[in-house]
Amino acid sequence: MKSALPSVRTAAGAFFGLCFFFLALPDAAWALQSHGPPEGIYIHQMAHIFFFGSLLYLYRDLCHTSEKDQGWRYLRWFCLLMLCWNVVAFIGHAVTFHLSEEHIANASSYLHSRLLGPMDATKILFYITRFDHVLIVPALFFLYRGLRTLYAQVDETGKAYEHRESSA
Amino acid sequence: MSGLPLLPSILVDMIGSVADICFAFLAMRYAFLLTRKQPENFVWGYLFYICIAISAFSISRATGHLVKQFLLLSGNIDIWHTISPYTGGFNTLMLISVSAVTLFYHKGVQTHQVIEQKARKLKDANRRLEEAAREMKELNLHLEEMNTHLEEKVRERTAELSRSEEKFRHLFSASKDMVYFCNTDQDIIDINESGLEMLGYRPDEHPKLNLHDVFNNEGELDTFFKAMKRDGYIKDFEAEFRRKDGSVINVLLSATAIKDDQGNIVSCEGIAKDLTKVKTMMEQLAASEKMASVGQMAAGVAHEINTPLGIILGYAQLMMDDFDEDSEPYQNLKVIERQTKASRKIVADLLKFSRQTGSARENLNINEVLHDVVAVTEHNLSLDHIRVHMDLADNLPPVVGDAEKLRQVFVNLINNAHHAMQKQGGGEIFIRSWYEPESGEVVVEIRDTGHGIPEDVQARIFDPFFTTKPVGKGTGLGLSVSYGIIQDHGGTIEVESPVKNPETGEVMAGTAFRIRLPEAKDPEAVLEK
Repeated sequence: MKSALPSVRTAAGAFFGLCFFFLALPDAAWALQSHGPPEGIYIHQMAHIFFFGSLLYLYRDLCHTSEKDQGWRYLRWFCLLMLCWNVVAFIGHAVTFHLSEEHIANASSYLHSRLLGPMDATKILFYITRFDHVLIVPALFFLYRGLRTLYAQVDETGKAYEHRESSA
Repeated sequence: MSGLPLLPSILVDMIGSVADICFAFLAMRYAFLLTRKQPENFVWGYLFYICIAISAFSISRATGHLVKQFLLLSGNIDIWHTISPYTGGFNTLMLISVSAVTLFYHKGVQTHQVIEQKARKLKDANRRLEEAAREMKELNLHLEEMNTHLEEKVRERTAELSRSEEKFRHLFSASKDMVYFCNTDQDIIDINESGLEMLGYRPDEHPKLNLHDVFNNEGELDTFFKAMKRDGYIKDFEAEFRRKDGSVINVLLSATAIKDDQGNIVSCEGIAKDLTKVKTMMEQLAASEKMASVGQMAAGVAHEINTPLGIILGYAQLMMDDFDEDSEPYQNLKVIERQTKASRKIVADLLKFSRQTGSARENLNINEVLHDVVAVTEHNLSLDHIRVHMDLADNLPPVVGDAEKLRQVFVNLINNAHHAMQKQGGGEIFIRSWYEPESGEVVVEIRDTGHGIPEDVQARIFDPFFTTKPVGKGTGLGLSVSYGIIQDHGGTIEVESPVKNPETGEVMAGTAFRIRLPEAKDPEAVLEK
């Protein structure tokens, strides 16, 4: 056993030394991938897709809850609205990516900014998707109402949860 | 300027951002309250985590939007361009976080459901165990209650059995008749004290008795066994039992065989009543009736004979006047006169026995009568070395009777005692008197220490003309006359030979006569008959 230890240490030292060598010379390493400007928006869009998928999964799961249970019904509304918001936000991000600053006129102040014509589908979608709070605010409102209703329903015996468990 | 104003969207964005934060935090608050209310509930905890992520996302997004709006409003667009990648990146990060947390909801809930299911099963099992334990407890209580009741029942039954056993034990031990149990070998395995006493054993003795030892007559025993085998019982069977001292008693026996399931006799139980006294009384009654009939016959004969005897005596005395005293006819007539007088005396005695003679009644002190008799007879007795012991009770109540006749009775009895002891050259006569308040009788006992009277003779001693004395020594009328006199006084006379000491149980040689006379109802009255 004693004779084997120096060879292990030597191998470990050689490995970490090689790593340090490549890290110290990044230009010659070619292992690092550069992240250009569109990558952020792509990641954000993928995050929306991921969020959409997870919400859809949650919605499917919540559908197993009893329809008579108001709290869980609110939570399903939250999911639906959030799904819609995801779609709107995704489209909004997508159209914004294709619009440049020239399409928006900022004559006197920011508050008087206007989307310049002529209007096409991209611009209309851009304009509509800027009102995404119309979806996300009600969604969060339903989340709040759902939890408040569940809180009101839950008594000391955990009736609301048991009801859900049984219906599931 | 053509185009669409962006002001509405800016306002909606600012107001919506604020509303986002408010609703997200309100939702988080209620999620938190739910976790506080039910800390063990996984779903509330999970919703709380989602709310945290959404709140963080809302803060990130809404703050970013607000900062953007304010920076753009204030004309600091460069600053916004600088920080926008950070807020956008953070926004994306929060979005991914919310997505990740949301995605795992289903699996978390599933896991939780499995755990809950197991927990519920455990809870159910626990509840069933508790119910079973409660039922066991109730059952245990019920069993304890039953046990208590059972103990009470056992106590009651035991007390009842004890009372019953005590009752029958008392019946067994206190019975004045013999009660016995015997086994298949005819061994008496249990017998009461009366039975032991009847057979002449002390109560503390435990003799090993067999029916073969008890029955005096083998023929009776055979009859007994045959009846038991044939009928299983025997009722009112007259038998003779042999006592320890060899004497025989007459019993009336009733017995029952105890059989097993197959009908085999396993034991027997019986009750025997001592009939010896009853039999003696029956014999005495028969003797009394015989005496009464003999007395009536004797009275008739005496009356018939008395008249010719008087005529014979009268004519003999008249003829004696016709002859000289020294002449032979005179002497012959003298013999006729003497024998006729003797015959008349016998006739007079017969009349006395049959109570056909007159009797004077008065209240008497029996002790005085006894003193008179002893005074007359003591001299002759002392000549034959017979001593008289008197043990007379003081303050005896008077009896109604004829003093002369009672003297005759006592003289007869003392003379008989004298004759019984004359041959043996002396003896003792014990004269006792006492009063028995239970029966209201005055008792006089005259006992001698002579040779006694054989048992077969005792039944005939009161018969007229029965005597064991040589011819010419006695007429056989003494005890008959005494019997008649005592009967006439409403009393009884009984004989015991040999004599048993009532106090010590010792058997003494000799004969005892006991005369029982009723006490006077009116101590002052004097009756004449």
